[in-house]
Amino acid sequence: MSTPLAMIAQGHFTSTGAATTIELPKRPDYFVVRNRSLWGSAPTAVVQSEWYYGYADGQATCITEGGASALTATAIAAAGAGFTFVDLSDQTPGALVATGTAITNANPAVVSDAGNPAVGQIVRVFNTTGMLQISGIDFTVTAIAAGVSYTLGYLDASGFGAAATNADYRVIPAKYYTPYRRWVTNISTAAAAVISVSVAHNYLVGDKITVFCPDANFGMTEINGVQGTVTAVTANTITTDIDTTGMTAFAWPTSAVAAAGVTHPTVTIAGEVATKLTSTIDSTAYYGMYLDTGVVGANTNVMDWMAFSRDYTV
Amino acid sequence: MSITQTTWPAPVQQKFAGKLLSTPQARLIHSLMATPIKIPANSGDIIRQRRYSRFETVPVPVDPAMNNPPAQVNTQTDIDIKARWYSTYTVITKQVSFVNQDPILNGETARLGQCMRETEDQLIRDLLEATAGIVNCTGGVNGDNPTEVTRGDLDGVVATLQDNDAEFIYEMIEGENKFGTGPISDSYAGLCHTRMIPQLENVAGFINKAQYPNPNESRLASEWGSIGNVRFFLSSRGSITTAGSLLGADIYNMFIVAQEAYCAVELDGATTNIIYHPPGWGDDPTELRQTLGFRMTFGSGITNNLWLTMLRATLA
Repeated sequence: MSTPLAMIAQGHFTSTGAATTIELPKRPDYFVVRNRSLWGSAPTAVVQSEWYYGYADGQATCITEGGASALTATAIAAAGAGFTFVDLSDQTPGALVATGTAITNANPAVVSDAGNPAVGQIVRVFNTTGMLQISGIDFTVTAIAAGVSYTLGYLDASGFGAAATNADYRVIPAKYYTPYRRWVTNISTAAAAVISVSVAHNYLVGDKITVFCPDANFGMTEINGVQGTVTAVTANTITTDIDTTGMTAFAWPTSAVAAAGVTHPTVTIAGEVATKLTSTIDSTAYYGMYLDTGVVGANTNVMDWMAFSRDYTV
Repeated sequence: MSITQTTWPAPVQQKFAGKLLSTPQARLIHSLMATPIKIPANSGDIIRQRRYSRFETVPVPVDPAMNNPPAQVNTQTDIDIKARWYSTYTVITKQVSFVNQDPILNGETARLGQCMRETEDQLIRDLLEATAGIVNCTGGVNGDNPTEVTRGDLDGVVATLQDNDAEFIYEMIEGENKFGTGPISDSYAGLCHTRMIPQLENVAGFINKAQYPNPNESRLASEWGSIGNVRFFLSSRGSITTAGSLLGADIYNMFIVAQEAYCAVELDGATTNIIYHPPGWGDDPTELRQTLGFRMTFGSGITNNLWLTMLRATLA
């Protein structure tokens, strides 16, 4: 016996041309997105894209208008720029990418890699040859040169002794519990210390943080376990009320020291000041449909979408 | 052709065994050490917990003129934790309940209960994994970072927790005059993956729980043994950071926790519910489907991240 498809969610959005994720109440069995702006206007573009349960990540079937309103059935193959159903509670890292050949010891560090990840993704870099200080640490990808390299914009590697000559990575899903821990890449010596982290954070002014720096190989062990309050933020920096002027300067260990075993410093949320209620510890997991650039429409296009499920619902 | 008794087939050549085989159940170690908190009904879905700082001690005596010393201002940290709703259900058709020979509703109820508790445990595990402070094992010799776990690594974490005035969870188990047993120190709890069993057993000072002086002190199946001031609880759902080491190996996260390190939050009156709808309920005019599900509220958060350490190790 079959059960009919029931719509579980619908909506529309104005595309920026960049990939986006639509939050859904559960996994759909059928998902469709239609380009309202281009529909019937004789474009040369994809006007409707569909996804069925069982499609591989990145796959889609599409209807493309050919300029004179001639419709063509087209497809985006698996691992393409189509749809991917996402479960934000899934913490499984992406596949091993072992094509990286070098990391510059510069500010910012740039990884030569033909198999570069996407901008904004979090990557865990490991198996580096040289520059072992960062092996096993997560970084936000801040820029790419497609098929050539990607930039670790929050890593100042100019103080490192030498460049790396190999770098594997995996894409790491964001933790769904928030606020979360971050790797520390620098702590300034100042009356109001600025902490730099390797991955963009979501800390807010008024958050209370705890800094962990238990390993003397990173200097500044005096700050280990110290709690402070966030007074300002940028994407990857946290200005605090912690006075580090009397402390040992923060410093990365050499690659050889890191190879012998170190504990990287971290920062994590300890709470918040009484006057705010914006950093609640919360599970932010959700189901969603990731629309890659092949199905998301062009900048300013209005896109209508619908999600259906054949689950038994009453 | 002759028919003998040995070639006569039985009319039905199978028998359903009434006793069902066991469904695997992961041990729930992460929820074990959580402080339970309930938000009263109609009081929102966020619990705010507050911790005050200590006053500075005052070793200087009041001056002879009896002037008042300066007042002290206390500070506090507020920890806000949100409870969320979770649910799932299963549909049992009339055909299944009519034809199946096992009591399907009873079995599904048990499995939904298991799902509910495993969900809670997973949520706490993922919370700890996302937010706890990290210490890498560095005392081993496997050439990775972190290394395999050693006694020095564990003692270092215990010392840090003691430095932070973290209270033990378990009291000492006094030694008794029994062969092969040994006393167990006051202990924090260590929560980790079952693949750590050979690693833990290789650590100097490991005492299997069978060697505890009094077996009544360890009634949890998940407890494996003790090292120094840590008693270990293991689960097949323990925390792993995939490909996280210097060499790309999996990292096994051991949460070493003290009292009141983290909590589990529920909405009072909506903690856990099993919900059954019989055939004919809703859009089911010919009574072909029944549904069975659970609904719960749950949240969790670290209440003091100085009383909890995520000790990371690779395998030897």
